[in-house]
Amino acid sequence: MLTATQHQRIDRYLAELSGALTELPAGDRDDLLAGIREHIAAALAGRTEVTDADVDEVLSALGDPLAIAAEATGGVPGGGPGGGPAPTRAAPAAPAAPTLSRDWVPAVVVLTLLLGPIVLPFLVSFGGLLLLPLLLLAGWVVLWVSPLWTPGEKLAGTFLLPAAGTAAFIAFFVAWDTSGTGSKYCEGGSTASGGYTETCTSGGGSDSGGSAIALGVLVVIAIASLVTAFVLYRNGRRRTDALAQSFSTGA
Amino acid sequence: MTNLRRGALEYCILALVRDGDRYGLDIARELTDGVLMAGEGTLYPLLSRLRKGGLVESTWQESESGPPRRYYRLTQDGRAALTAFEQTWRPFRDAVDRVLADGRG
Repeated sequence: MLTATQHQRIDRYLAELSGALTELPAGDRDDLLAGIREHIAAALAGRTEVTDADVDEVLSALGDPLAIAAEATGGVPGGGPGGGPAPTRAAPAAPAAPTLSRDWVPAVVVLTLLLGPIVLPFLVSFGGLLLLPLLLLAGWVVLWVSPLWTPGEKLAGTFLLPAAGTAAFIAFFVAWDTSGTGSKYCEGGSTASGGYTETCTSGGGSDSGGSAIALGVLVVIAIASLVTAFVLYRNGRRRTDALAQSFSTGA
Repeated sequence: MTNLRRGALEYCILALVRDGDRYGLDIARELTDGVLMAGEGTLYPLLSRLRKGGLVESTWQESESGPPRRYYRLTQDGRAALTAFEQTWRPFRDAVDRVLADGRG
């Protein structure tokens, strides 16, 4: 009989494996997961009392989920008896390059993409606005190169993480503009004679419905962005923890 | 090395199920010596590849302790592949050993 913690530990291992197998057709993935599940059950069966250490031992003997996934997704029909590896097969990325799998990566990526667009525009005099594209680019590259996230998570992170800052920034300036000028909208332009004209339209209360909708949209975007940040950080940390575990046990 | 190891490992799995049905954990325990296979989990993608290639087949059997287990056995094709490998492997291994020894002078 397993305790809740032990179940949780096993489920986390299986979820990790499942997450790394998204390239595989659903049938193959279920098949592989069923095999691993049976292996764990068989390894723990026959013991009168299962300790946490037993569970850890069984999971670490199974090895790094990413290594299993690399074996499952990397094998291209070719040489071996079961249509094994093709000679041109790329070296599996899983066991090497752990730099972008370290535990600081999720925090740095999430904070950079989330807070960059909020903080940097206010540092205009220090070149903040110029740094913004570079910072976003760096954040996106790490997000996409790091093996910590699934393609879906990466896509969500790319668009939704910077969205909160952008929304806050827009909301701030709309509010500032509205309070400062009495919602007066000005349009300047040069005339053909070389003079300068400025046309101003007073908004009054007529567009308050429109701005309420706009504000609502901004709030929704900001919430979606914060939820994305939370999910990406949590999933990223879960995977770095699992990786740290598999590296420390030498699996 | 990865390709060489995996190629040899697949034939080792065939050899292990030659003389009768065995289940995953049972096969894995024979192979995890740190040389052929780093972790036991790697066995399962290999088993499904061998099954898809028609070299092994599997049946579910009840176990006295715990849920039913999937037992693997060699097919006719698998037996032929294993025999062919055995006939090639020894001369191959000897040839490689000879070259490595020569290279050392």
